Amino acid sequence: MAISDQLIWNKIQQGNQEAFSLVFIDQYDDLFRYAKRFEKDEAIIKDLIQDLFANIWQKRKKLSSVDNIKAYLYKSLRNQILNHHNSKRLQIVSGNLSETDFLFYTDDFNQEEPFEQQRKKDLIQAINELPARQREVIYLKYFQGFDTEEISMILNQNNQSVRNNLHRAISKLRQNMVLDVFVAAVGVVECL
Amino acid sequence: MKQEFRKAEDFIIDPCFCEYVLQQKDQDEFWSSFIEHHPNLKSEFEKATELVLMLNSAQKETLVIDKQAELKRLLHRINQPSKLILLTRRVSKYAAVFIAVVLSLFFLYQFDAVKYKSYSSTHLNQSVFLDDSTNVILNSFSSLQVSRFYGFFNREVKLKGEAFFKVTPNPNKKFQVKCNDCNVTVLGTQFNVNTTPNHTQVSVKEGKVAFTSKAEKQQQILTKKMHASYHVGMGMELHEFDINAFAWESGEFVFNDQALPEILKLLEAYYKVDFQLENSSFEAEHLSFYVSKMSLDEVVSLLENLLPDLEVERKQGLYILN
Repeated sequence: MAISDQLIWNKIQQGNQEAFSLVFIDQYDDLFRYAKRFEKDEAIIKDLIQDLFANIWQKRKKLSSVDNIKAYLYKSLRNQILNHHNSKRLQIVSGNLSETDFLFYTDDFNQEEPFEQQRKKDLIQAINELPARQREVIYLKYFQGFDTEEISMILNQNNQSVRNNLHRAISKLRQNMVLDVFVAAVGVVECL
Repeated sequence: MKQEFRKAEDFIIDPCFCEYVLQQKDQDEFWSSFIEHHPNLKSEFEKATELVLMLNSAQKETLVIDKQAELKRLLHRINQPSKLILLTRRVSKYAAVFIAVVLSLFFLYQFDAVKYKSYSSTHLNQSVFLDDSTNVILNSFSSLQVSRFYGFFNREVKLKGEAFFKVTPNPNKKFQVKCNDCNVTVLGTQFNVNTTPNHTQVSVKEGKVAFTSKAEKQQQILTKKMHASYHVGMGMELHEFDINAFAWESGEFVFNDQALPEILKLLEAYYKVDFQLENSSFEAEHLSFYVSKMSLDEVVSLLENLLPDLEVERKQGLYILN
């Protein structure tokens, strides 16, 4: 994987538009989904992705070699979106993310899996109670399938703090979900 | 074992565990034996299994985007020689805001309150200095509106009531006083304009003034010591110069065999008080005297000296002559 990524990147740097187009088509949907988590305006997302690829093409000869194209694209797109937001909002939000970014929705989890719907709602609620930064880690890990090393590259954090964030997030998820069951049980007892 | 497992999250973090759960490798001996050896961790193990399964049931939303069109757009863009930055959509928003602001400014500009800066006097005179150091002295209860663009293209003011103008000379920018029915245009001079509805009077102290009526386009050039008036329906008329035309502002009065009621009226305009003639026998009195910037008390005692029978009584700004 890493070797083929390097090959493709080299081709792009040499000016091969076919390789470039291939990467664009290959990554477009996932990049779009990722962007959608912090920018609701689809027209702006389209423009930002256009800008991202156009910039890469323009500066291709000056760019260093990349051994993970997907993570590289995510990192660049993330910076671009946050720059766009900062210039628009003119205010500093915690860790550059706004608390409304990376919210999860009921459609996000497969409805046909053999779990109670209520259990899934609990999970989504518990996720949405996490700080945005932890939600983003959860998203990158479970929706985009990145490992912690790749996530640390995208978020520009060291591997250990990504692991800590993930650990903390899951710990909170587990507590919140157990707590909900507990509250439900207490409710039943009180009714009796 | 390289890592300790105590709680669900310890399991979930471990990639081997996730692999085990997702691929349902029952034959994976490590984890089955692990549970057998640690029965106390069984509930955490099950919780972890559930969470991993749930989180991994994450599904990607479906998108309806024409990727090929986007690719075409991108290729078209990068193959263009110019470095056109694609901002059209974002710029169009700012453009819309900009146009809205311009339109609303234009709309606001239709209102006099925005177009002009207003000055108005109460019962006292008010002196106004404009940007080019032109001095306008407003008589009681008069108002002056000065264009926000005063001095840019021309110098334009609107007047209601009476005012004396000392216009700073500027041959490139004419100074114009707009009244209801007439305009007074000058380059630099000193003159007096008095307007009442339907009636405008202009007296010139110095320089040259063009006095124009709006309706008939009648024009009269006035120079030093000339006085003209315009009456709606009656047109423009030249008059004998009234030596006291500027007295309300300068405080210099010349009375030459003038009737007392007229004298009192002129004095009232400068001293901002009211005189009341109680005894009608004084109305026929004619006086000649000269006053230059005297105080009110001095003027009153002068009157008392000129008319030995006269007694002046003062009641809260009202002077009663007996």
